[in-house]
Amino acid sequence: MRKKFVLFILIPAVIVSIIVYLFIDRWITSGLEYAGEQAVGAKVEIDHLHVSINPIGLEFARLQVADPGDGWKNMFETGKVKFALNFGQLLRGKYIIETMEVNNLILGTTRTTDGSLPKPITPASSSPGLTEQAASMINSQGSNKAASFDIEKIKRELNIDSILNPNNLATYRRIDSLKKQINDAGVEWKATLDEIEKSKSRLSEIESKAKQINVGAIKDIASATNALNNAKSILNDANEVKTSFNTRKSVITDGVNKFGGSINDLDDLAAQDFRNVVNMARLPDLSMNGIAAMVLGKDLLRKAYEYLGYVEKARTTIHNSSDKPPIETPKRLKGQNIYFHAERTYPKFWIKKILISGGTDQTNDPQYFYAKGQVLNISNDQCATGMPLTVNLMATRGGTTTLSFDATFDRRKEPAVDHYKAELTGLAVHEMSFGRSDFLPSKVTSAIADASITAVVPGSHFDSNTKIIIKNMNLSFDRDPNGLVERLVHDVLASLKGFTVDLRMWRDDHKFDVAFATDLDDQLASRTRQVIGNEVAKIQNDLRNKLNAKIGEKRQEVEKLFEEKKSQVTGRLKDYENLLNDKLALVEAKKKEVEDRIDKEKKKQTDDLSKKAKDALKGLFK
Amino acid sequence: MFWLKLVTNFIKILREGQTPAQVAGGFALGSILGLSPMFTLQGILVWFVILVLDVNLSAATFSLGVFALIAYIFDPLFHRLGYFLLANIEGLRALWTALYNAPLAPLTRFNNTVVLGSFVSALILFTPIYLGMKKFVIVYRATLGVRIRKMKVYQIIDRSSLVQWYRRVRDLGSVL
Repeated sequence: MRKKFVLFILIPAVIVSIIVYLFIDRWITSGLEYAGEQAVGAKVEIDHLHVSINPIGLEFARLQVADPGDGWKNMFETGKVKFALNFGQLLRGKYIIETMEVNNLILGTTRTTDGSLPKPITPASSSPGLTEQAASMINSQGSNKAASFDIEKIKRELNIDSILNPNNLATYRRIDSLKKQINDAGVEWKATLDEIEKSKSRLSEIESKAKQINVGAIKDIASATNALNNAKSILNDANEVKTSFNTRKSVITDGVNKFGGSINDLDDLAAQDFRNVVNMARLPDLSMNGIAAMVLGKDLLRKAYEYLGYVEKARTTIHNSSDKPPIETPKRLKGQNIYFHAERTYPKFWIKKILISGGTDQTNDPQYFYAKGQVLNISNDQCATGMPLTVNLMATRGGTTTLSFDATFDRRKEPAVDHYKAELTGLAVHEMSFGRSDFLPSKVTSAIADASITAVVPGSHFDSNTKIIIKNMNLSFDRDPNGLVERLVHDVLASLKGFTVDLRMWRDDHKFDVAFATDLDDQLASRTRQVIGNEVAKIQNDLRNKLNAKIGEKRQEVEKLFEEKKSQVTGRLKDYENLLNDKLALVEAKKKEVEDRIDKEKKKQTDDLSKKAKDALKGLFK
Repeated sequence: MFWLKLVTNFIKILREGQTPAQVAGGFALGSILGLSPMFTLQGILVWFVILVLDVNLSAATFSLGVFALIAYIFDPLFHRLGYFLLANIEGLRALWTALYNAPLAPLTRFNNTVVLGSFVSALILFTPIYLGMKKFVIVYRATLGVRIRKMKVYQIIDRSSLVQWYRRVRDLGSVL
């Protein structure tokens, strides 16, 4: 053994111990501030941190966490914070805190120095996040133009001749097309009728053949049978002609019926033309759907969009653990840490409970603020703890405004699920923008708001429902209303003391969407009908009558053409059919005559035979 | 200057002084420190062993420097070996899990791919390095040292102004 080993061990050990003792507080402060700044994205400052040895723990006098959105404000600051580490787990390289007490927590305090940090460069994501999708949704909604409600202007600018231009009317185009089709069909029908006409000579032939059968000349059965066969043959010929005629008649009749149906369908087309004409005339929709959303929605959506940023941050910063992580390419000599958690063991980092309380002096400050709550199970691996991160907070201001906030962040299995529930009551709204720069800009000067929000974030999906009730509202308008619709909305809003808004935002596999409903729509619609309903109806009737007259005139053309062609065709068909039936009746009659003659001849021969037989029998018995 | 002294001390030790086993022991233990990242529990233990055992300190320090350079070059290999041992061998998983959840063992940072890969490599290389170094010291002292001193390259370096300057500075201390 080395003799001077004590000197080699003891002296460095003592020096190291002294250095550690002197500087450990500063090192830990720097480490915690750095970790906090990485997580929050703004300055984190810890004052007077002290590490105690027995029990091993930490305490500090003050913690300030700057707001990443406004560097001159703190997201929150605390008073004294104290906690002890589990020594047994510290030997295992794990940081386990049973209970952490956070006293005098105050939100949104003003800072004396700027707490912003340079924004980190983040790699572009392949799929847009919630906030990006929400922003594009807001922008697209903002581009909607207000419908015109100025009746005088509508009347002035309404050019009926231009709107009723035949090029704009589908009925017109259809009638022209029908006329052409009927003319083409007329040519075909004429050709078919000419073909039918040609068979008239055959009918004459049949008639003459039938007349040639002379029933009076039939003297015996044999000649009668010949005459009958002749008659049947002529009848077959006649039936052939009839079958051919029926086939051609059926083709023509179908064509005629088809055109008749097409002409009747013109009514539906004319109705469609009327709707198009009303659209082209830009007549306002008296239902007023979406006007309230347009007036109120954008600002509320923008507020919601700000909070979506926090939701997304929570979703992406709280990670799941994995059994076998994929191999990485770490920096030189840094390596990759692989974690080996067992059931009912501790994760690397776990704060089991943080108790939070704080507020301003209730006795001296009528608008005192008080908050309390707890955060449970902050850990780097929820699979190891078996418990999700849970936040329960309650805050009140001046005894009138209350906020309760509950959230769980579950990373124990895929997909990760976050739940949020917040209830806000009695929030005094001192100033809130309304409307848009191009449509009735206004602001709420005073109101009381209640809100309840629930949100579920399973994996990359998102579904939130918000109900906001505004009460005791006073509005001021930035300028006088322009046009009727602004005046209407102005009047309705000015007479209002409150309203309700339901806002649903969700994202599924395909896209982000927003549904906005408010009771203002009904009020606006009823008011609109009162003021401009009759005028709009009058313009609509006028348009309808002119359109009907124009279409009626054109329709008469096609109906006249159709009737003309139809009567020509049906007349000729009827004539031929009568002729054919006459000839058939003639042949039938001739055949019947021959058959009767045959029957008569047979009867006569039977009578002769029986007379001869009787005579023969009489001679036999004499 | 420190490194120059370290090298000359090491060459001096190769010639005379401590036994070949002490020199080889210091060199092999230093190789463990050099190959593994600093500031691990096992690193402190190896330092403790070096200080407790009467091995050559110059050889250990020299070896630490040389093998730290080698470690830098072979770092990706150590990372892959460490990942293979930690993540790909199912049979070892129970051992790693037990160690990870045992007291003190996590302080060795064995669950880091580079730490484990380099430490395992150092342990495997320990015996060959020890035996090879021991053999080298014996041969150097018997024949190789004389041959090297006779080599032209050695003589050129030996007469170089840098070495002469170093000697003057070194001897200055003894004169004063």
